[in-house]
Order: sequence, then C-alpha cells, then structure tokens
Amino acid sequence: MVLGRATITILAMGMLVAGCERGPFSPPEDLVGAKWDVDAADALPRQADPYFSGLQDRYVALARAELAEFDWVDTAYFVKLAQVASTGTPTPPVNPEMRNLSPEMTELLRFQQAELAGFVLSRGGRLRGGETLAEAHAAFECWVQELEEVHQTDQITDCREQFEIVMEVVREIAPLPADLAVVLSEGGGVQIDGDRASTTLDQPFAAGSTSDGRKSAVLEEEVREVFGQALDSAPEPPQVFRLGFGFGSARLDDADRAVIAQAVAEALSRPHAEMVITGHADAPGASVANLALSRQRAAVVRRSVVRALAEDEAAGEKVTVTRARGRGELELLEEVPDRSELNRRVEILVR
Amino acid sequence: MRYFTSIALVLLALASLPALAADRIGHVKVSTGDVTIIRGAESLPAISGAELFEADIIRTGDGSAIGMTFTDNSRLSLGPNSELTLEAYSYEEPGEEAGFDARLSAGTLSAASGEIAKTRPLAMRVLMPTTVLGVRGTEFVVRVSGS
Repeated sequence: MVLGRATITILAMGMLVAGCERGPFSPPEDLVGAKWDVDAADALPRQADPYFSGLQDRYVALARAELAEFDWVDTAYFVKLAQVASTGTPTPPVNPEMRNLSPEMTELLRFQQAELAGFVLSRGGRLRGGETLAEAHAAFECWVQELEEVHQTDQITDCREQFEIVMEVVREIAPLPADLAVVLSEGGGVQIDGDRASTTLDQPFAAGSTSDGRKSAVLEEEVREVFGQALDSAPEPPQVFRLGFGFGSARLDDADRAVIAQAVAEALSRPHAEMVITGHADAPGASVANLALSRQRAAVVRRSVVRALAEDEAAGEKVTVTRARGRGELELLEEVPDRSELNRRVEILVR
Repeated sequence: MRYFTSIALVLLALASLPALAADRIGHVKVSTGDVTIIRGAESLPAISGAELFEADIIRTGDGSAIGMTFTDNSRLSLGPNSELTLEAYSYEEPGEEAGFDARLSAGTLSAASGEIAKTRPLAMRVLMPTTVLGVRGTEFVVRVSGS
C-alpha cells in the first residue's frame, strides 16, 4: 500500500518535473526507505503521554503536507521528528542558529525557542502543557522549517500565527501556579476560598492556584524543588506511647517501665522535645473517681518519666515534660468496649 | 467584710492573670539561618526551643527555614523569605471549641494539621493575600509569590 502510493507519487513527480535535473523536487533514489515513509511513521505506536502522541500526530501531518508538495527533504525531516516523538524522548525545539536565517529572525526565534524549550524539556511543563504544548512545538518547527524556504510566505504566516496563539495558552497552563497549594496526604485536603474562585483539593498531589482556584498537575520533584527547605524543617509527627493499667490501679509494671524507657529515648532523639502525659480511666464507676484515678495514673507515669530523664545529663535542657493531666472517662478509645483494660491507660505523647 | 471581699477580688484577679496572659501555643523545633520572631515591639531570634505565642510574626531570611510544633500537635514549617503571623489560636482539650488562623504573607509553608482541624470544618485556616485556605487535613504545602 505504501509502495503503491509512493509509486503513484513518482509517476506524478515524473510528469511534473520531467526534464529537470535532480534538485529539491526530484524524487529520491530510495523511495521505499523509512526515511520518507509517512505512513510508517504514522503507524508507529503512540506514547500514552498526550504531549508526545500529539507531537507525533502533528509531525505526521506536516510530513504529509511536505510530501504532497514533493518536498522530500522536509518530508524526511518531519518523519524523523515523528519517529523520535513515538519513542517519548523529549527533544528541544530546533535551534534557529543551526538554520540559514537572517540575524534578526535568528534573534527573534532564539527567544521563542528558549521559552518553548523550557516547557518541553521539563516533565512538569509537558504534564501541564499536554497536547497544547505539542501543538505549539509542532507549529514552531513548521515556522522555522518554512522560513528557510522564503517563497512559502502564506505557510510561514500560518505556522507563526498558530505558534503565537497557542503559546499564549501554553503560558497560562504549563507553568506551576505562582500562588500554589498542594495536598500531600490523605485526610480531606484543603478548601480554597477566594474572591475569584473556590476549589477543594482532596487527594495527595492535588494542586491548584490559590489566586484563581484553578487546579493544576504537579510532580513530586517539583514539590521538592519549591518546598524542599520548608519540608526539610518540618517537625516529625508526634508519637504516642501507651501504658496499660489494672482495674482501679495506678501501679506500674515492668512492661510499663519499658514503654516509659522507649518514650524517653524517643524524646531524647528529638530536638527540644515535649512530653505530654495524659491519664485515662475506663467507663465503669463514678466519673469523679475515674477522673481522680486517671490523674493519679498520669502523675505516677510523670514521676517515672522525670526520674528517667534525670539520668540523662543533657535531658534537662532538651526535654520539657508538661503537667500530668487526667481525662477520666472522657476519651474512651472508640474501637474497644467500655469495660476494657485498653481504656485504663496513660498516653505519653512525644513531639 | 468589705475588706475581705476586696482581698478576695484581688486574689481572684491575680489567680486569673496567668490565664488572661497569653499562653504558650507552641515552640520552635528547628531553625536554620536568619529567623526572627516579632512579638509586639520586640524582635527575637527564633532559636530552637523558643516559645511561640498568639500574634507572633515569624520571618525567615534568605536560605533560612524554621519548623514549629503547636499544642494541638499541628506542625508548621517555613522555607526562605517567608512571613507567617500566628493570628489567632485557641485550643484547650481534644474535642472542645478551637481555632487556628495563620496568615502567610510571603514564601513557602509546609503544614500538618493537628487536633484543631479535627474539631470542625475550617477550624484551621491559612489566610493569604487574596484567599483563605480551609484545612480539612492533614499535610499540605502553600506558596505565596512575591507581588
């Protein structure tokens, strides 16, 4: 089929350029080569990434247009670009300095090329730019390609206009929003309420602009780049150590002492740690008695914690132990029955 | 009798003073580079271990950063060239009425919400020049670009 079409083209070419010497419009010697095979380039697998698949589509279309004009050199050029797009290899837009152009035009194109390359060569730029970025990229290649052939002025204007229009959109969508919010964990996310828009970001890596509420895609590496220093200074999550008690008892056993030792070790490993000690009771019995018992449990644990810290010389400077608090039966663990030894507990929170 | 009442009133006033005076709401865990706490007319170095109070303004310079923990277990940290005001903070016990408004005027903030955000929707908020960010939970980052 491909050969058939090529053969027809040869015949057509033969009629058109009969009598001419081999020049830009002459058919190449090896017409079955993949170099000029637009259909083969079209049949190559598409990347899932809309930027690469969109780029391949557009290069194939440009190659076809060149083929229809018997421009073999340019056909081969766009076939090659389509092949590369099919592999998903990011490639910078053509460097105008490598082209035979006027210094003024080279200067203008260099600026455009650099801006486009910034988006094309960054994963985040391609992610957010998607097919629109592919459209801008292909239009740029088309513009530069046509510029070399100064006689095709309508096409030059078309490609340039298309590039400039699409770049306007790329500039809106491809950069990370300047005022940016990114959710990093499960748990509900954030709600953006502004004069201009309101949005909810509720999934890990959901991102949006806080100035206009528009959602945006963001890569983990971009979060690192923008927020790295803030993230590196983020304190560790608090850790809770739990000690169990017998019914009506505020006595520590060996297991409790081991947990206290762990909690103290954790506190000593953190910069300026705080230890918050809270006692609890189970539900049976009078609330007043349970409150007193929970306070007593917390006080016993606090004494033991303070004693353990006293054995470490530097601890006095580093660790703050807050007042022991009792919460009685106010904070039963939801997941256990009321009359459970799990509720008869002291929690040491280290932060 | 009136005399005793007066003494009792004075004592009552004294006893309630610590509660009226601002309570510590958190403290500085890590601080690198040039970080200051602005408290009223004072400007204090935000050294590791420094206490934080409602209405404090925290400012970081070039290449500087700070990490803070709060009494409700929320955690905030700032990257370079940032400014955060701890505008309003109230937290007593888990489950009770509470609120936390922090205003990010510039820079980068990394946050993990704590008990306050669990009490009701929008109990914890990050206020920004043009937007209010209501925190549902738990970890997020925000950037306010320079004008």
